[in-house]
Amino acid sequence: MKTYILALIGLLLAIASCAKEPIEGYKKFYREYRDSPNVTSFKVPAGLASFIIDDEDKEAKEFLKNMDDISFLILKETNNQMIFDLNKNLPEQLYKEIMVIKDGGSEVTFLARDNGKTIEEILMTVVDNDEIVIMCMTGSFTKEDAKRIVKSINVQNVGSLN
Amino acid sequence: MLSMAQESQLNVVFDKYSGQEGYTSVYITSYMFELFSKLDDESDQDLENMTKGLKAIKILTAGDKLDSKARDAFYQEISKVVSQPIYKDFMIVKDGKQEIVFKVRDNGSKITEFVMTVNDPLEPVLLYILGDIDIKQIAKMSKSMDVKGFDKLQKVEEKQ
Repeated sequence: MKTYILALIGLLLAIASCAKEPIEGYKKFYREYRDSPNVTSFKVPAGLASFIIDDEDKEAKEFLKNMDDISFLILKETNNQMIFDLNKNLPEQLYKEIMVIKDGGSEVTFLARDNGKTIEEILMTVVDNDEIVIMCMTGSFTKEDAKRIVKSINVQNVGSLN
Repeated sequence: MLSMAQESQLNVVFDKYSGQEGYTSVYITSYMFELFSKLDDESDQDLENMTKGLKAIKILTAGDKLDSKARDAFYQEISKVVSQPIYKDFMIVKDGKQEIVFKVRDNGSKITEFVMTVNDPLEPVLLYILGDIDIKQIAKMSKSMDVKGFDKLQKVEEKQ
């Protein structure tokens, strides 16, 4: 009997050690790098962001309704470790590419993380030479919001995204 | 997995110029369309119908950072690819000096590729859509995207 109990405890311990930690995603990267040298960061709650949006811009106002906050991380003089950590915290099973825009050597990528019902996070990364800008919007975004992103595509002015 | 025969011949041109100085590319992935059908929002059934079956939208333009010779060579290269017999003429629109050519590729029962080329000496454009394509829905979708020449697709509705 004792052997069985020990075996069962052993099995439970093995299962517990195999259980993966929940993946936090981009938030972890933001927290780790926001105070690093050569990094500029800021986070604005949606309520505050609405003050800087033009009252006439109804599309933007609608978008803000579903947003919790928006954060920016500007990484200058990036190195391999930063890029490795960023990729590690944006795993493919959580973040999927919506759209990729390339303008010469600059690359803008839109990623989204969804829970099956709404989009929880929308990320835009801009990679240009050794600088990376990451904009992250969190909230409960709808299909309409995704449509707004497509609508905002203006191929002739893509370069101005940088 | 797609076989070589099924894969778009235009992907080679897209990959060649995407990321090169003077060229701008946009790639909208299948996940975007997946989101449209996945998310709870019954208010926009139209959008779901429009994008159902789409796998990708790719747009490539040559801009004014390039000289006219390079822009012309780019247009000649895309023209050469779309002049292959697998791409059938769908519609040609002439608007001043601009010529917009629409082509389709099918697998016998469905349209699997929809191509638009804009012969503009200042800014030639290649746009192609991959997936199970409903032309009428593409015409509707063109209204919600601000892409040079895409508005001409609305003429497709008139053609139907």
